[in-house]
Amino acid sequence: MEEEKSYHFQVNLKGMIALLSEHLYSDPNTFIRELLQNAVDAITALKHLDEGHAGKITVILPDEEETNFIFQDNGIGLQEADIHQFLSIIGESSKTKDIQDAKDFIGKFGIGLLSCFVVSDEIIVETKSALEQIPLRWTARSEGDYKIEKVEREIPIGTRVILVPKKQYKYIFEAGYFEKKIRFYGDALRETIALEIGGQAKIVHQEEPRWLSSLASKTDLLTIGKDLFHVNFLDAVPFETTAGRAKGVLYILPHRTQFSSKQRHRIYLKRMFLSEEDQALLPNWAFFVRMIVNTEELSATASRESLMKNDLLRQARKEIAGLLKTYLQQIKKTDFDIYQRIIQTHYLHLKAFALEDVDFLDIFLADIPFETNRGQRSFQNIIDYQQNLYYCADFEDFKQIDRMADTQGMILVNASYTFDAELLRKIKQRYSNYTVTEMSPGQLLGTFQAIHEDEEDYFRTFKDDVQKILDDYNCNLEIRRFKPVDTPAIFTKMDHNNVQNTISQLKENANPFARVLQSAPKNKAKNTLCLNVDNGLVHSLTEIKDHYMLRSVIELLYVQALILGKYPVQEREMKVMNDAMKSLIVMGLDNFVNL
Amino acid sequence: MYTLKIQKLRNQIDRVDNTLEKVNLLTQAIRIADENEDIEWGYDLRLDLINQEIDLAFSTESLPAFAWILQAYDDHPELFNEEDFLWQYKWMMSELYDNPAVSREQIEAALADFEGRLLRNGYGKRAIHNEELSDALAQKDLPAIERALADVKAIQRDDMSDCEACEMDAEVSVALLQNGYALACEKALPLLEGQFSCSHVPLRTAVNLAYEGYKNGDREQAVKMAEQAEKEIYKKEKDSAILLSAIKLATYFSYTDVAKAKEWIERYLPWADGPENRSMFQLACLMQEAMSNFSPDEEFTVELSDTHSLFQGKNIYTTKEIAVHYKNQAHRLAQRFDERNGNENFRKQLLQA
Repeated sequence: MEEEKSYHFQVNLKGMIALLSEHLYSDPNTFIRELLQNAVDAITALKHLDEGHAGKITVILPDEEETNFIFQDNGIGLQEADIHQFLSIIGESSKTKDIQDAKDFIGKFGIGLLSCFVVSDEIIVETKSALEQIPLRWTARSEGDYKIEKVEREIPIGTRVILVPKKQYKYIFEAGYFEKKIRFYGDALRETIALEIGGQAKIVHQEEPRWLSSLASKTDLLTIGKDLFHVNFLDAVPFETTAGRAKGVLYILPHRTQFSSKQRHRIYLKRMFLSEEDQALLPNWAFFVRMIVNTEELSATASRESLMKNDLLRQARKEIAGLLKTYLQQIKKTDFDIYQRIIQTHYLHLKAFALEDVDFLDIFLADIPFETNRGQRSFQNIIDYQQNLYYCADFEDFKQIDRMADTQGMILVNASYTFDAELLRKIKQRYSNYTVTEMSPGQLLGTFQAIHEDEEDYFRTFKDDVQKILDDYNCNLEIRRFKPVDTPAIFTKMDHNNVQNTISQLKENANPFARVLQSAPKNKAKNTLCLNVDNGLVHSLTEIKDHYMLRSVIELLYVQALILGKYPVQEREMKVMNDAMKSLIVMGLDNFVNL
Repeated sequence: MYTLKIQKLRNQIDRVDNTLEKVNLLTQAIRIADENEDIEWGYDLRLDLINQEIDLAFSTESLPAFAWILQAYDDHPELFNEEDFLWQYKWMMSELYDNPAVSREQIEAALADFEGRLLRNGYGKRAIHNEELSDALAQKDLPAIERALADVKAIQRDDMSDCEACEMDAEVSVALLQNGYALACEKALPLLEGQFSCSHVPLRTAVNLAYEGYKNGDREQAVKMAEQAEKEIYKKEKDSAILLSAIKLATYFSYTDVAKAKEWIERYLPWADGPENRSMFQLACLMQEAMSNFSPDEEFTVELSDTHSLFQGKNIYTTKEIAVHYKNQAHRLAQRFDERNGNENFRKQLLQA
């Protein structure tokens, strides 16, 4: 071992290339995007020297005679020093050297060309620089070596990449497949793209995409949307942002969408297709929108499959949210029919929007639809009907009292849907002129009419007797007046949230956590059985003098009220009902025998 | 029939990506399980509920749910596996420390119970010492911190210990408290380079170093750390568990970029809607500090729910109003925690602030 000598680490380049090329990119077709990107950047660089230069990309697909795949551009080309530095050092890129220049280019990591190793074991780059004018050939193999040589024949200024398709990826290079893919990535580019196969050339992309044109009409945009996404959208909203210089179209979906479902979009960066995911460009409530957009100034991550989540992106999203809001405000005035259709289809998302944005809530408030015990109704419709909006934040509560509320002539909102309860609380907080009241079985009971004082006196002894029976069921007795009169009794469970419900199931000192919870102040609320003073059966009950008979009838009414309120009837309640019926039968037989 | 309803709710839970909504659906499913006295569903759903609530800034359902799980296991050890909930036991220990209404005796009793369960399942006491260390750190009690750290290191790591990222982050916090800013930066390197990470780290580390970097005059490092923290926060934008980190970063911005600080406070303060606990104490101290960098009449537009402790029936609050509110809250909480802990550690923190 030599003293004082330092050594360089050896890198297994083949392994490195395999790692980078196969794992950095999620799709074998990525090389098409990377080649397009390099070509576009080379053409952009030449345009810095010659503003009028018309960029063109020509792709020659392999056939029976020509087995190689050739991808060529008429861009600036590479000098020998560029080749050593930028094609051969992983992580170097000519596009990051000058920050201002880098803004014009799509790529910047110097690793894009490696993606070609996924589909070819060899990459040949033939290039002639517009500056140096020396034709060069760079040949790299996936084993990790490369060579550079002069090309003897004359070649035009620009770069051609030659690949030898691997057997397992030959399908990618078939005309139909390749054309579809290159259009997929490059359909918004400024450059012309031509495909050649068997000597036949075909221009596959030439024109500025119509959705980027300020002259496109709404009908045009809707047609483009249909072609792209195969959906007949309700509306198309062109937009532009200052942050990130994003320009595109927001399409309003004609059908309801799930909150969790991801919509497919078309996101372009500097005219190159980037992703079908929204890339956080849309506000999180805009599930009802599909978007096609090109951004000139946002940045991509190293894999170029997503946008960097930074302040500029956040700012762009804020602008898009603002634009969407303005659109929704304006469409109400300009096309009420579309506005109605949007509301009917997307009210869930619009509620989420209204929750985040009070200005929008002001405009949208009257038209917000809610599910009620009398079908779907708008906020305004409910308020016009009864001045007060009652709602249940809990579906079980709603189920238990919707029928009762109906018979009281009350519209009751089922606010157990996402955002509803939160939105109603916000409305209550923001608009003091509206009364919004959360309703529970207990509270509904409170709205029933109390009995008169003289009736109180009449029922006093009866109440004491019945309360003693109901004490066995942890239940309070109430006697009130309510509709329908043919309902003798209504059961309401104590207003109990989940936490209280769980705590009530804990045994004394069951564990240290139970002890902590049990040492906190307790809620001593009880369930309630409310008898209807206007019901004939209830009146007859006061005539019963036999305590056993009274108990049996009250127990039957108790279980009947449970069933009526859609509360679960367990074994214990079934036994109570059966015993009560049996007692009544026995007492009936006794009376019969004693007659 | 009811199991079908529970299954449907579970499917719905899988489809939504809003944690609050998941918790809401889980509580509905739990109620159905309880009404039908189905202890197995009750157990599974409550574990799910605890696992969901950990992603929120404040939890309200987890503690009772956990007490119920312990009871279910102790009553029916043949039905469940005790290891199912040992990891959640750690979170619940934090809940006990967090709540000033829980006495020291009650905490000690829970620690003893936890220790018993850990040992009989073949785990060591490191997880217990992790909890003691984080309590000592919250109290900024140096002798207790040093004791707890020595206890942690004396016992081998196992699957119930805090993750490596959290343990290393705790060591960064220890170094910061021992006036070792440079040492803290060094200890933080593996975390900042992403060698170890979890749902809290390196966000918490980067935020702490941005704030301390500024206080220690290392502006360059502070800016770098703030940038990293910001990126981490963007990754978790919908996760309200980032609340304290976001408010601490906003406090740092209040020294370096007041406009940004204001934007951040307006964005995140509405999330501070929860019970009075240790996090709320820290948040109150930070808010008080941040407010000292704004003019008293500066107006903040914050959309608060009516359950938010700051809520006064409006959505514009002045610096003065916010500062007074959080000053009172911090003092009240310091008093309560010190009474519970039998020392003056929280009040000392107020004096230092």
